[in-house]
Amino acid sequence: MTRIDGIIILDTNGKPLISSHFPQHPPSYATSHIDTFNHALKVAQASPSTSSSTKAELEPILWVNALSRGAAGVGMGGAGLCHVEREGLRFLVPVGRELNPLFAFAFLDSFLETLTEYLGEVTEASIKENFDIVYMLIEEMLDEGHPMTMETNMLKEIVLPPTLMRKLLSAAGVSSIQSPASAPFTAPIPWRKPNVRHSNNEIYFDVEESLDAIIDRKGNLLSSSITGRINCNSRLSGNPDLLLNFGNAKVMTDCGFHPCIRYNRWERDHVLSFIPPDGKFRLLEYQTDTSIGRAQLPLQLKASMSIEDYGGKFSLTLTSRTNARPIEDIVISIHLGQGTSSVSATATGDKRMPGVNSGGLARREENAAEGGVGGGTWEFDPHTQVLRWRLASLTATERAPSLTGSFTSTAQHPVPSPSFDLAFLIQHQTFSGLRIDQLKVAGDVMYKPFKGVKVASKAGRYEVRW
Amino acid sequence: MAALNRLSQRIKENFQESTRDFAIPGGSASTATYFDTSDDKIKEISKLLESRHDKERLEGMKRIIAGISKGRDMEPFFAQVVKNVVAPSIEIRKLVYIYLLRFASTNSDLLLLSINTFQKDLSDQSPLIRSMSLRVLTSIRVPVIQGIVMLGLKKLVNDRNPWVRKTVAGGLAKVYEVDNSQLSSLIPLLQTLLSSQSPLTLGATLTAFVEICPDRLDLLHPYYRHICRLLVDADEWGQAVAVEVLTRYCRAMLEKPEPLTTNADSDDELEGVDIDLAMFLDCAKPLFQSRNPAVVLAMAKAYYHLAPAGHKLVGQEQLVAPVLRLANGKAEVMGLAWEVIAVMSEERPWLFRPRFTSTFLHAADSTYVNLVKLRAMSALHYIRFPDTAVAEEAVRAIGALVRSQPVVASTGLATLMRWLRSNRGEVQPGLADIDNLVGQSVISLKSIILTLPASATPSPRALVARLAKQLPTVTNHNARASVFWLVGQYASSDSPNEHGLGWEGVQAWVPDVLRQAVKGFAEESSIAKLQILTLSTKVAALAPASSQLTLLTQYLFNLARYDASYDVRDRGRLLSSLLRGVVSEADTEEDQGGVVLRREQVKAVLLGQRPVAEKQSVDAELEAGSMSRVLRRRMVGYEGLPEWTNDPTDSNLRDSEVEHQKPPAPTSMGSHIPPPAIPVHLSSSVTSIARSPSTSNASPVGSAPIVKSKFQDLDAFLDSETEDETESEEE
Repeated sequence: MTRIDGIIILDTNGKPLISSHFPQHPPSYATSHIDTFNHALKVAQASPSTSSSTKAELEPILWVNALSRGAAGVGMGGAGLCHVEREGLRFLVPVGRELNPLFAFAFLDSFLETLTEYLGEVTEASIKENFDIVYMLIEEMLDEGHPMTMETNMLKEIVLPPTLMRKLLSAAGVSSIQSPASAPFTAPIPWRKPNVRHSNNEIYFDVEESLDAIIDRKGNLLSSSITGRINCNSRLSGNPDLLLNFGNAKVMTDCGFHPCIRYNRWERDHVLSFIPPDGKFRLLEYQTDTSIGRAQLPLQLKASMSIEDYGGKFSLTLTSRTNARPIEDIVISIHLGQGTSSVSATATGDKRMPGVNSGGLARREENAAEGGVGGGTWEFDPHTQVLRWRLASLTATERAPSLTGSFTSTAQHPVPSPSFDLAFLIQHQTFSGLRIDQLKVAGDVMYKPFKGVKVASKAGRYEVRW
Repeated sequence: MAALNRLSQRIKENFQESTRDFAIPGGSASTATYFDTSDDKIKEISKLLESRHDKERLEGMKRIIAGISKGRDMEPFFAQVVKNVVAPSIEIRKLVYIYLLRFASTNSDLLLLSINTFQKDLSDQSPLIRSMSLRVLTSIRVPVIQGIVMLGLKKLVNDRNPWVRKTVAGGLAKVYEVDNSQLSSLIPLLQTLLSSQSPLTLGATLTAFVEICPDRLDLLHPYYRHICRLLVDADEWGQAVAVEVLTRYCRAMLEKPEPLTTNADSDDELEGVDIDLAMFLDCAKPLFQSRNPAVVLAMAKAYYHLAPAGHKLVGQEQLVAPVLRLANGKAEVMGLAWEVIAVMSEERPWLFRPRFTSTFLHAADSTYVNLVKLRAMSALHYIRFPDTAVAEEAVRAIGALVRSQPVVASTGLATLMRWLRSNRGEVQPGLADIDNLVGQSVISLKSIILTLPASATPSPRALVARLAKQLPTVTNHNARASVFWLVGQYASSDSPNEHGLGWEGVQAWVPDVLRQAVKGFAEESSIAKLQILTLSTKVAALAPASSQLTLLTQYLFNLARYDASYDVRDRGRLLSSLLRGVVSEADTEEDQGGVVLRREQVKAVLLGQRPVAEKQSVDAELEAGSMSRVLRRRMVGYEGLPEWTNDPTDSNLRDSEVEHQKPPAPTSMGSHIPPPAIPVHLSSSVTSIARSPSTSNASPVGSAPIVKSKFQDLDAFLDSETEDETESEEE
């Protein structure tokens, strides 16, 4: 009920790179998990992916028939295999006994975060280079499957990160590690190292909101939700006790807090009171309760699609409804269905030369070079059967750009995805209107820190049906 | 800076120098170094381990660990590694510990040599060393030293450093695993840990509790309120465990909350809720805002199973928003969160209903997520998805939706029927997927029709008739079989006087279906053949007076007798003898013995009420949010929550000196069992209304006057039918 079995890291070829010890289980335990996983992956990759995405999809937890040791000795049992993928590497967590299924994933998430903190980036090379550190981390984070020391700041005192200094010292033959700077296991705040010093005291907040929306073919908003997160990079000395005020905190309804945040203070005053960890961390995630109205949608897409035998026609028109800021990095994509062989389309827009394409199997670079940016560029990837239309930016005053064209297919009745996916970015603005107002510092510190705030909003899963 | 560069350059050279010996020729320099474990290199490890320099011994240990991860046998080095236990460098020691933990059980004799070192370290100044040595000591699973281990645990259980106490908690379970007769001496240690004022140890302590004595919930009485208070400040992992333990405790020990009373004037905000239960729910409520999905899920389960519905402060509605937040989170979590929502909304549809728009599918989501979302709630739109797996689940979900939400039944039915019609002619032989989709639609329809009350509009009979009309276009075997079965089930007629061709008691269009079926009998799959046989038997039993139908049935039995499939032959024999009491006045001369059923009995056999079964529901008893439920298999260690106790414990038990401030005076404990707080399961109430068509009264044999009328074929019947289908589309 409270433990996972261990952790296995597979390289990009499905070979084990790191495997924790499974003392509770027969020696074949790890291998049978690896085999099951690789087999499932192969099956998923081989099957003609019917979905619009090209990645092979596996269920988040696989069932593994494995020898396991139960209460009554060794016997055929089974285990759940939780897995995630990062940079082509696979991280597997076998679970032999009933467990809160998110426990394993939360652990994996935490583990990966720690690895990133230690190794910079988690790749096959970086893991191989620092395998001893990875093993030590696993050892400290997992005590026979129970999460043990999970706070990165604390781990860093026990398992030293691979810094240049350490390499220097070890190469020079000096044993530096005898007495770490501060005594481990004595910090009063689990997530914060004692005696942090920075010459410049600064803290950065990075607010990012994303909008999920479904718009039906008549332009009605079927559902929408805004999720946001505030990432933080704290470089403050001592133990600062921060108090963060928001412009309209009420918009944040369902929050997920970093453990450093004091719950009751939030409940009472809707302010964030916390002693931050040192370095980068996610302060909170939130959802807003107010779903926005149809009129507030920043970007409108008029889409029509008609299906004929062996092909179809489509026509798209984009309008910006955001007066203040340009909308950037707009990508509109749709999966045109199995068997789509070619697409021809014309993108038109304001000011700049229209880009014309025909029969395009790949992106026509010359379009961009000729300056057909007003109507953007489009591309069709015959492998994934996805049509993409990109625009670098769009303002409300511009003439609405459009893309019209047709596609051919080897299937008599092509089945394109029923909706267009939209992606875009708007800087310096939140959908919800959330603002960071004021930061007060208390605690044992005497300085006034520099506060930096960055705000952006983007489309999450934003789709327009046709 | 330049100096530093030069230094690093020199060091780098130095490093390359010292590693050159064991680099693979042509291999990528440093990464390959440790992973090169050819036999020669392994020999060098011994040399390194015996070295006087820390650096070389560290090198040796690293290579050993690398060897382990390559799957090499590193056990021969055990003796040499053990010697390094006393190394002054923590880094070396850590690697040694990793090694020892792996091979300790097979080399206990050698390991015993170093026990003294560990024992000494238990008194070390550094809490890190104390904790590490205790961890190694408890992990050596050798029965001989359990005495020493127990001493160590007892020594450190009152350590002033909470991290060390955390290690003690972890050690308890390990000792118990080796020797469970120690339980009686472990429990006092556990109790000491439970009374700890530090939230840091809470998780590890309750984890130990779960591992050692999960059933001794009574041990928690004096600590219950203490734990509730510490909960907010515990670490995330501890919170996840603690919430689960407390949920279990509340079910077993506290009184079930009463359903909300209607008078809202009452000042007592926690009316009807046991004071201790309210305390848990209230203390834990902030944890809904944890960033850790495991905690949020544990909380959702707690509220799902404990909280009263509709309560302002601690109602189970509280869980909806946080779970939906998970469902918008990271990809892996998303799928599982929807899985939980699916299960919860199957069981309590009202819970997530206000937020139903969240369940709309996004084309960008993974197939898995979309499949589960559909189970969570079915939207009529999604059959258009190119992914046939999703479309199929959509059809199934519409079926589930119609059954659980009668309001939308007509829309759902209309969509399914229209969908079936629109696909006519488009079913291409190669597209097995589409074929399955049609099959699933029919099967969904079948289960919907069975649950409809006879008075519904459109009436189940009309639906069956329309389905029967689709028969020529349906190729899926299961679907065809289902239609034949349905026709048989709904063949009886309430209006015997209408046509009078001798088949009164039978719907006018049914014989035509049967005729067509008999005509194509040879081409049917055996599963459909079985159902055709059943259909004809039913018809014969309903209208024994009609010689035409009897002859048709007789003809069919003859066909079945020489069928290739023995199942069909068997079924034919079975059914024909079943019918003996109904049709065979002619050949009574030879008594074949055995029991002959009368017509009413035959009808009861053939047309009796059938339970509505559909794919799923096998795993319904597995709890929402458990891994077993996700995998649809009962895992080792799965244990459902206990039912609410009928005999709640006295709240005085939970008063104790561990408490600092006393909670408000406990409410008096009523001995009565409160009525269920949870509203009646919606879909089950629907099923209870559903009635089988067999209950409709058919006239006894021959009692109806025979009125001549024209034979009506199926098309004619359908044309005469009023078009009551409402074609509203949800867009």
